[in-house]
Order: sequence, then C-alpha cells, then structure tokens
Amino acid sequence: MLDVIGAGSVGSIDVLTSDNKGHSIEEVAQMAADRILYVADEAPPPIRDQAIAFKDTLKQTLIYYMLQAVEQDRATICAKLRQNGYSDLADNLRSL
Amino acid sequence: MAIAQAMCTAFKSEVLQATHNFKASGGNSFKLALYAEGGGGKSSTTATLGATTTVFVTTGEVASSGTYVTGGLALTNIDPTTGGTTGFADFADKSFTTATITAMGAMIYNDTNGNKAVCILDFGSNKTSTSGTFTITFPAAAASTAIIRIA
Repeated sequence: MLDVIGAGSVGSIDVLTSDNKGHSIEEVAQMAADRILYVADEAPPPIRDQAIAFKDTLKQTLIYYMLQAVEQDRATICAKLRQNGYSDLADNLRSL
Repeated sequence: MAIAQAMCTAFKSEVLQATHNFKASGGNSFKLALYAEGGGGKSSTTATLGATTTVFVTTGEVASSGTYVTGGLALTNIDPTTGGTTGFADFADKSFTTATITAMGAMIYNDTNGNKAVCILDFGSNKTSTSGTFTITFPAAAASTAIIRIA
C-alpha cells in the first residue's frame, strides 16, 4: 500500500506600523531587500556571510535610489503647485 | 487563544477540489482582513479565528480607517512555484496608509469563491498604527518560509 501524505503550513508574517507618518525610506528599503534576497539560517557560513554582505550593499543601493525617487517626485509636485499659484505650499514642501 | 495561526482545514479540502487558484494572471482574488481581540474591533467584538474557520467573518474585524476598508483589501498574487518537494504561494506586501488600526491578526480569504478562508495569521500581540501606515510583510517566498506551503 502506498500512502501520499502532504502537510500544509503557513509562514510567519511581520507587521510594521508607524504613527503620524509613513514608513521611512530605510524601512521600505529593508522590506524590498528582504523580498529580493532571502538568506537561509542553515546556509553554510561562508555563503551566508557573503549573502548578508551583498544584501546590505543592495539595501544601501535601494536607499539611494528611493531617496532619488522621492526627491524627483517631490520636485514634480512642487513644480505643479507653483504652476497653479501655490508657491508658498511648494516652498514648504521643498523644505521637508 | 481567540486568534490562532493556522492553515484552515476546510481550505485543505478545497485545494483538492480546485476551489482556489493563486496564479498572478487569471487566478482568484484573495483579500486580507484585519481582526482585533477585545477593544479595537467593530462594536468591541472579539474575533475567534483558527483552523476551524471556513469563511470570512465580520465579527471582530477592525473598523475602516485610512485606506483600510472593512472586508479587507485585495492582495497581489505571485505565481505559485516549488522549492525542493514543497509547493508554495506568495503575495506582495500590503500597506494601509493614514490608518488608525489596532489588530491582533488577519485572515486571507478567497473573494472570488464564496469568501472561503485560506489561513489565519496571528500577529502575536496587538499591532497599532495611529494616523500612520500599517504594513503586512509576507515572508520570503521559499520552501521553508513562504506564507502558504504544501510539503
């Protein structure tokens, strides 16, 4: 007699919250890095160390370009605000 | 425990009946709803969720706030795949912004097919955002970690 038995399971999620603001760029970059690269605890130490180092480099790169994206988006919004006569609001936004 | 993390037992049977399709393109729509224990839920109701849960329920669901609306929001499916002898499904992370939420757990359910429950997620403790962002980050899509796994 042959039995085929499978087990279903549910993974562990993380919950990240913020008060009176959104998540920081560093937090979002960490989320992205975690999605892009998973380093198994049981991986051989030399490989795991290299992977962790690469992941940190990846995170720093993500932070840099996310900052660029935020700045460029903010510049676009400020330009639109000025075009529509809201220069003070645009100046306040640029100062953030 | 009123909210216990589990793959719903009914879901295991429904998978064998092709009730659920997790494909990114052409798959079913899955939603994630948030629940509270004690205070935090609508009308101060307390959620009782676990392996025996079969369908989406409103008891204990958190109230609408910011971009979170009662009934939950649709998740973005990521094509199921395999790793070793394990098959697994994954979803993109989900954020609710400008939200004041206190939640102890969540339910993923099939919005396409009768609101049938897939799994219950236990946050372990109350998680709170105040006029901020409440983000669910799913585990890495791997054989030993993915959110929904069949080994």
